[in-house]
Amino acid sequence: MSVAGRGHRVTRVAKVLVDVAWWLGVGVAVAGAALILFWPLTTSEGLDPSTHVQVSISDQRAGGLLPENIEGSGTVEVIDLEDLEGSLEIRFLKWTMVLLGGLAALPAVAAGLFGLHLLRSFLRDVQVARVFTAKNAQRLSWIGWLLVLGGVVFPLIHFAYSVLLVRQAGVLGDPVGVGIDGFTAVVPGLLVLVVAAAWRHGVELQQDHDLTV
Amino acid sequence: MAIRVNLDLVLVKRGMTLTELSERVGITLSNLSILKTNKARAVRFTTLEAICRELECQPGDLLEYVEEDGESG
Repeated sequence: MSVAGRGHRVTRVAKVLVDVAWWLGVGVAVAGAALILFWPLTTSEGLDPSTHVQVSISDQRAGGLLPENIEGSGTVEVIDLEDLEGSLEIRFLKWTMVLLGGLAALPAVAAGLFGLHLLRSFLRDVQVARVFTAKNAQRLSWIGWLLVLGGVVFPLIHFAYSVLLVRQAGVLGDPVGVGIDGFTAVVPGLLVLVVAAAWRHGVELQQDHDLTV
Repeated sequence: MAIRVNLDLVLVKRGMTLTELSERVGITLSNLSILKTNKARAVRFTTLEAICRELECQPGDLLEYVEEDGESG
């Protein structure tokens, strides 16, 4: 198979995978939104349902945790811990916190779906041999910036929500460190921006070629 | 661009249409139109040779250098 043929096959496979990811993402986003909005109607606990949420924490400095006033529990338990690391299971969480969590996740979900949409459009153009176009260069730029900015902002939002979650659970005592997810999307985002710059050069070359008689 | 293509003038002198020239030289009408309207960024020697052969002219009859202020060179 020629190089061009192999490239075409790879593009087709990539397009299928991205299409699947896109539709899965839309489905999960819609289902998640419906679940969060109609959560009280699905439980027998009325308008103030409880849920279990796990928050990853890591606190090498913890001397002790004293969970008190956890709503609905009616119990107080003293825990003396050292080098706490793992997951804190928060029980009896208000639905409003679940809703807030959904709102906190909304920017990341929207950015993810937009990025997949850009990638779908990009691959669709490449499939029909419209490779080095100004639109494709712009799409790559947007994907790069989404990764860079999202890689910084979304972990911070997640961190802020996790702190709120832990406080809402009524965990007192020594501060509990909540780990920030690594800013792992920033480096791939920078790489995509470099590729976008090279693509713009390719657009110039393509235009020269198209306007050569 | 400072290079002006005078293809339309030469076609009129020879009494030939762009479509006819396209069929004779084997270049698409859209490409010849790009050339005629001064939108081309480059011309291949093979294209220039084919056009000059059919129009019985010299490259200098087709291409003209024009100063930026509009005076011909």
